Amino acid sequence: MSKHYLHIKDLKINFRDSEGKKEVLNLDEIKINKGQAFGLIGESGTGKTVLALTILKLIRIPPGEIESGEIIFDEENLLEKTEMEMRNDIRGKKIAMIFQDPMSTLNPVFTVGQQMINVITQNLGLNRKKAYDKAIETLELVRLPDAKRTINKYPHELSGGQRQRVIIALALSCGAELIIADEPTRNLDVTIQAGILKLLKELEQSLDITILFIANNPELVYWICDNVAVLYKGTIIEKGTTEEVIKNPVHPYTYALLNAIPKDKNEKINLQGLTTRNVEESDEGCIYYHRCAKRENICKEKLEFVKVKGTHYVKCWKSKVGDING
Amino acid sequence: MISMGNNILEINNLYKYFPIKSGFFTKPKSFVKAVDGVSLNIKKGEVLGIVGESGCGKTTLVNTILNLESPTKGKVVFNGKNLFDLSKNNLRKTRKDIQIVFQDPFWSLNPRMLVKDIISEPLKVQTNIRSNETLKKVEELLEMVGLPKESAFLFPHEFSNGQRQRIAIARALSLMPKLVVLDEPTSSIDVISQAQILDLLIELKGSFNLTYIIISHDLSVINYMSDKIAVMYLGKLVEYGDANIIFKDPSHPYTKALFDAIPNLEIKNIEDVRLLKGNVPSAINLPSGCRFHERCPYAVDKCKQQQPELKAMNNGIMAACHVLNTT
Repeated sequence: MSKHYLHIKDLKINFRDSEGKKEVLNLDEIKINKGQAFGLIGESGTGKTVLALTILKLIRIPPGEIESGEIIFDEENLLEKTEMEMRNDIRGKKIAMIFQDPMSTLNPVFTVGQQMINVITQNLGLNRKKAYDKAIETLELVRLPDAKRTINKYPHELSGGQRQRVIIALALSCGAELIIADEPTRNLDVTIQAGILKLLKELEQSLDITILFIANNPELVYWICDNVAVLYKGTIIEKGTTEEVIKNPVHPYTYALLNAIPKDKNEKINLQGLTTRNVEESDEGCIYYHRCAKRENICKEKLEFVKVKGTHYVKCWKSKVGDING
Repeated sequence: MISMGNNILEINNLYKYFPIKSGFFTKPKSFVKAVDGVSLNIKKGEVLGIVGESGCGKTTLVNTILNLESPTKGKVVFNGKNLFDLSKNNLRKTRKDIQIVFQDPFWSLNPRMLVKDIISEPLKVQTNIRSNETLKKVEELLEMVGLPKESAFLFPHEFSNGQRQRIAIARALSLMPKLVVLDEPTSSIDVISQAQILDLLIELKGSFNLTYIIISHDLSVINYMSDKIAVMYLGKLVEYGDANIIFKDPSHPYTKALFDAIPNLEIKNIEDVRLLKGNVPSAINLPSGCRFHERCPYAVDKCKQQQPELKAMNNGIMAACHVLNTT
């Protein structure tokens, strides 16, 4: 048994459609310790959300199919659990998810209180009075001003940032210890974004929760995560501590992701030849081969993780040859 | 203020109030002051960036500039013509020169139309293009924004979000406008597509001599694109001027707070990030005096009583702040 809180091993997920099988995820390993914030970065379509949904067993089978692998959470394999066990013991109580868009995750016809009390009575079996107290308590925990008034409001009466705080309160209300945050600050203003991230970090420390943070902007991950993995086409291509990976990226893709954030007008964005997407991949070699500006013949051969420094690993042939980003 | 000269667009004391009524025949009880006395100038070939938190009136401002909302008061002069005085017919002709790219391309492209119909619709409305020429023109436009010719016969849902935004850009450029308004052009796409779209926009600006107004809450995007910035807070400009100066050394406390919140690699720990206290107040019951004083760390008594006006600072930019003006 693994000593890690969440341990994903050899996870392979495919989706089938009329055109055949498509490999969506092919992860070797993700290890998250308790009380840690783990970041997952990559552009859209790389399988970040599929991974999050798989942990909660929320992907629909079919068209999805779990070919192989294990998701060990708190010494139990989630993939072996039945739907009933997932619903009664895991979702909400142990693992909760914060989705991208707070407007579409809250039900517009119920007040915040109705939705929260509903969830709390269902999951914890409290009566409505106690559930109300619990709801107020969690709303105060996420620093919503005037929790007693907010609880009677409908989602449309709240601002985007307040709505996202309500979602976080919902996630915490039943005592979940692992929070999966799937781009929780997308479409929010920078100031609100900073507030939400600050709140997540504070909660991580005060409640000792574990966070799996999904984002496409590496700088957000740098702010709150201890460890990070870069996902490309369903495969991890670089992983390590945030400090190492974001400050000294080795893989050209990580490098491109970091460079894609515009910094200065007088400095053109350098994507290193990263233009086309959805090109067919080579069977054996580097998954990034077709988009990589630094590809060579050796990249067509099968490759494994290479250690860069400490816990910093990368999947790139050229890193073996030498420092590739100069 | 500044002589007309080579200004392509001049906005003079523009107001847009939305009335709040309790009944159909009753007089409005109060107003949402979405745009409250804004004056701006844009020179030909310039990029003006408008920044501010959501709800500060950025989108209402451009909608009013484009005459999509009728203004409460004020003047918008485009190429020497006041847009609000034009007859319907003349307004339609002028609209050819002003185009807009909306926030989310998923909602701004009709899902039932083929890409070729989406892109050629403005051409059909505004020009006498012959039907056998349209496809050629559409293919030209598609190639210009970096999409393959074959896309013409696909539907919007067959594209990624970044590609859809390219289609929206192709549609906006189909009439060869002089001014393009970009309303959060990259807020719904990931960082890599964002970088590509921004570079495409800069390239197109160079080759067609365009003028842009770009709205975004993402300051890194504004920084990358703009020559001039206007920072808005609750319907008013709080800082306005040359982008390079404002980015290097923001004057207004609100602009400073916006800059502090940008993710960056200099601060390792989120706990060290300084945040503004409170939320944006409602635009109906505006705070007295300076609208920012409740959240401002430097507020003095004067800020509560008197509204500051935009004044020129030493470094050539304009800022509306009592504290700055006295020092």
